[in-house]
Amino acid sequence: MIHLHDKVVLRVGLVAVVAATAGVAAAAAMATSQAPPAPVRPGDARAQLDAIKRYAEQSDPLVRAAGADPAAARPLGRDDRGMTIRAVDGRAARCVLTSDGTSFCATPEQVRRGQSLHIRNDCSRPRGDMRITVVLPASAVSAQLAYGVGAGAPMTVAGGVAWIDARTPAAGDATPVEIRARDRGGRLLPAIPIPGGFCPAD
Amino acid sequence: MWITSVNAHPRRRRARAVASLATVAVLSFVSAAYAFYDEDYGGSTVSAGGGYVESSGAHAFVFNSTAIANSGYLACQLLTKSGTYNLVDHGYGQCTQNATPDDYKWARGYNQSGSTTVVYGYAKTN
Repeated sequence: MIHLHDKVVLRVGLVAVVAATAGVAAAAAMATSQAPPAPVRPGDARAQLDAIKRYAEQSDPLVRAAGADPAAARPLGRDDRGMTIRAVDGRAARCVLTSDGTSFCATPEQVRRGQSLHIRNDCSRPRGDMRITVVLPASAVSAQLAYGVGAGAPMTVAGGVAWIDARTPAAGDATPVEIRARDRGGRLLPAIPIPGGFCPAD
Repeated sequence: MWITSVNAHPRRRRARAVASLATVAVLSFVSAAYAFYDEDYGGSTVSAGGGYVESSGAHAFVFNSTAIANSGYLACQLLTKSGTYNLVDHGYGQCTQNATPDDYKWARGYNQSGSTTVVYGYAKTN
């Protein structure tokens, strides 16, 4: 025998369960029913950011926004800190993914203009970790990180991508200024400048 | 009375158990929904060579993304203002970065290009 009070409690409980289930289902549907976005016009920053936001709940949203599938990325190697570097081609860009969640893409035009690099800096301490990754021109077979003075540091090159682990320069340290890539014949290709400003501050 | 008595009728205990579970489910869903926070920030003109846009506050951000209108060099940054956490990623056109939710961090986007332009930012928690 169920008392009237218990029936009311039971009904309220069942309604709550149904409501919660429907809410979770609706949230899940919103997260999974997104259609692939239309290609974004280069230079339309607002649209580019919106395209990335569409995938913000998934891994490597920037890569997905570029029309590439992160799961299809092929491993190129590891950096000195044990991170796996992978690459995959998107609609109009080559994308590079690192196992710490970093990713970036570069179009052929950006590669041609020397604007195909990504730099990560740990600015929480002096001389924190710095990783420089770059998509190289197709003819490049080697690359070197050049500092203002002295010899450069060789970069690891694989699959058209070069990377190097270094330290964020502190005041007075030598600062990397460009990446110098060479083709199979040893000829120097146009330099890829490193703009600096590693640890922007107020 | 929500405390189940050992002497209560089995159906009554079942009804109370169902209601309790439902309450927990609803509260969990509601609290999860409220815990999530995301924010579009910036969208304003930023001076060349280091001007920045910033989130309206510090949150347990795990994702930050920025885009620059002139496709130039930019940076995205997640930082605590005490400096204990300060991760900066640089690139051309757009930038994304991930972080753990351990700290309440500010999200920023820097114009590191050579001309004044608009920088957009988006950051979110888990």
